[in-house]
Amino acid sequence: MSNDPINRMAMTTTAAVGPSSAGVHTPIPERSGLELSTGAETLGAMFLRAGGRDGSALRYKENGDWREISYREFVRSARDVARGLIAVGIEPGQRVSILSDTRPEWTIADAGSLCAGTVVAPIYHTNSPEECEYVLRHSEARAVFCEDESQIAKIEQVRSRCPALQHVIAFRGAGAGSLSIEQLVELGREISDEQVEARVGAVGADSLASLVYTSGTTGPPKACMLTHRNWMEQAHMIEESLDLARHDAPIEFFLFLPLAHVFGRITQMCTLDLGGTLIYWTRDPTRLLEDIQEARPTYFSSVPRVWEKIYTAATSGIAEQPRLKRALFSWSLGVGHRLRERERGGAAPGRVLATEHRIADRLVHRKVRDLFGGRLEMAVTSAAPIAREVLEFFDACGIVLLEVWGMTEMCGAGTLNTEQEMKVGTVGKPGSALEMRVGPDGELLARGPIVFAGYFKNEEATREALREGWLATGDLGSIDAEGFVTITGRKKDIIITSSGKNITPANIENALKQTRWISEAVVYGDNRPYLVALLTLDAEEAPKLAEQLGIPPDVPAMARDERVRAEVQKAVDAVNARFARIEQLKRFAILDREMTQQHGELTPTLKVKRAFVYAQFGDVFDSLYD
Amino acid sequence: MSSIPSTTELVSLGAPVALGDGTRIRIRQGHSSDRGLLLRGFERLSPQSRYRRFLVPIPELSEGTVRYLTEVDHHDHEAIIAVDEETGEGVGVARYVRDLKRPDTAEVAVTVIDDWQGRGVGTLLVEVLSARAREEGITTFTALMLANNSDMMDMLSRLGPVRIVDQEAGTVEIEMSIPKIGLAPALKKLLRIAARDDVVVPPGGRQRAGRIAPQR
Repeated sequence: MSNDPINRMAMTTTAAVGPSSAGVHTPIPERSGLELSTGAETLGAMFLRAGGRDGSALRYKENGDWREISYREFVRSARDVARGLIAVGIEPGQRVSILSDTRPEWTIADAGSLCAGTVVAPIYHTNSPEECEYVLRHSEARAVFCEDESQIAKIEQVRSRCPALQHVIAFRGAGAGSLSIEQLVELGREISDEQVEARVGAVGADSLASLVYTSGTTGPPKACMLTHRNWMEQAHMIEESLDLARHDAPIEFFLFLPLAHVFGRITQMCTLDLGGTLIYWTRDPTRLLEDIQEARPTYFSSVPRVWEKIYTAATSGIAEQPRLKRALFSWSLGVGHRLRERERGGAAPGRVLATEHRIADRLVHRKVRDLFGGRLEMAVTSAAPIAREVLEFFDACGIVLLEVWGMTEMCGAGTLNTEQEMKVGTVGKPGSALEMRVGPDGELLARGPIVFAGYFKNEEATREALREGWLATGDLGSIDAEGFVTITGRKKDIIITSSGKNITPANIENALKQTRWISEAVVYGDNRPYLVALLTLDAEEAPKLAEQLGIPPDVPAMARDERVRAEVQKAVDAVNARFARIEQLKRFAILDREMTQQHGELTPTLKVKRAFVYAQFGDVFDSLYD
Repeated sequence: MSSIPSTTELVSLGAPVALGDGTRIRIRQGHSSDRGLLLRGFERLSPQSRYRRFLVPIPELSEGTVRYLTEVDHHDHEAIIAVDEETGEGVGVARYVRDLKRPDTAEVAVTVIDDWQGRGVGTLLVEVLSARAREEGITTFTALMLANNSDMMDMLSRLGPVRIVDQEAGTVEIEMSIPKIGLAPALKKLLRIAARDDVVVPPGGRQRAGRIAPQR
């Protein structure tokens, strides 16, 4: 058998699906109602089939104008990219990376690479050069698509250390060491369409489609091996669960999430499988809401951070309003809430409530819906827990906001709340391609055709994650009698910010502790918009710092001294430069002593009690988000 | 012979033990003179193993930590170490530190150098440590570990029933009664070999260390 895990992939199959042998579990029901889907078994085949569709595949704004790319044009471009990749010698199964913000070219490069039978290994566009290097080296990527000059510059810094990397292909700003997309397409002219079709035809459902990198406990990220079956089963599951596949008009999905994240990428795949339109943001975070209002999507998925921002924008200022307006606002929400409950219970609202609702809708609800352009039919929140009040607010305003839970290891969603089956506070029921049960220690276990094939080049981590065919999700939870899943905690010590990014605190903590003045660093940020840390001054080094600054070597006083803070800030800035923006420390506090056993932060054998530190210094952490 | 060995007997355990793959280690109490052994061992520990031990990343051990870990009083704080017979370098350590608020309870921590993991070293160390703990009037062990640290959980579960007390921030806290018997078979044999033969420890895995068999 080959030593190359990619080749081995093609010979193995994903975990078999069948009834569980023990414990509470949800069986996999029959599949139905996927009328709009291409019904393809591989992503390449899906794209090729989509080339025969009418309508608009991609919509984006350039130089102030909205432009569209039809399905025919989109798939033509994808074929052109595929021909170019074949022409420059990229073989089936070899890896191709994409380093770009979310934009149409990303989707075309993705589709093109998949149509060439290659495996796509995306890189977050915010990654530092070091982090890009890791993915390129680990995946042994032969080519990388770069968004522009700034991304090319990052690759140039590390290129000499990435021996497998042969081609840098630029969406724009190609220079001496790179190919422009146009040049790539030109090189592919000699390759026939039949060659592309042969590449697609040679890919099986169990062939590897993508390596998606996700945080581990310590050290570098782990590469989830996702097969074509994983992607197609996941796409079909979402389409079916959310009833997207029986729609009268093609869905129009607003896309701004990073496509290196499985949540953004599966959204892309579903929309294209169904003949819908992907609408891209203008890549300016301050304009996100304006973009949505202009784009007027019918579907939108996002992470809690964005929902919270919109919620805050919609409700801010209410507290300062006159009492009457405040009362009207909360009355309107109450009416919306009652109406939705009736509807969900299958009851008609009744004349009084219906009248009240018309008024409340005109005064408040509609204004909130207009924030999204007024056409939104459904929205999804995922990747991190969302506050109940935020969900209930949008629900009362008539926006169907469904909470979905999932992970990269299951290629996206695992459980979904749907319009028909929704329970606030739960993450919904397992989708049709997933069977779930609760393990003996309370961990949620899952299996089914969407479960990944393991971690690339990491058999130990694979063995830990996949036990006897079941994926250990790392989340603790329960499944109620109706099958709704509630997440109660996390086994993995990772931080998931409200933007949904999984972050390993150990990596940045380690870097901080290697600086001269810092002895201990506890990073915090679960369900928060950014990372902060509680730091302690190194008792052995503090006197030297005091001498350097000409201040008394008194640690408690030093912790409050602005000059000390400035020195520590310098160290933090230097550490931040090595991490992607989202993994950087935005603020920090300095504790006026070391962490000790006596104060309860350390156990007798000197283990750091992270949960105790979070609880004990809750106020300090809170103050870093003011 | 009592099923619980005395300190004197334990000291005599400096005799060689052959692991399943034929490599030989010696098991003994740790002392303040083991400072160099500890520091060199720490250098060979992977970031992942360091993280598992301290639950935070540890690029280097501070002077205070080294002192704390080596200057043990063998009553409230005991350390049992395993030394590679060939090189004389440390390959693992198990320690308990008494909870001063609950004197019959102590926290346990085990570290085995990465190359030596999965070969039964940790299990041996924990069994010897349990015997020492009992001798010092400790009846309950607690441990705080990463929730995904199945090696540690398996190691303790082999000793006796483990109760999960708390789960948070990616960690799990457990508590267990230190069995009066159960560690005896392994120890008895260990003690026997101190006088006579080597023993073979089956490699890590699921087997109970109690199934130690004399080497042919």
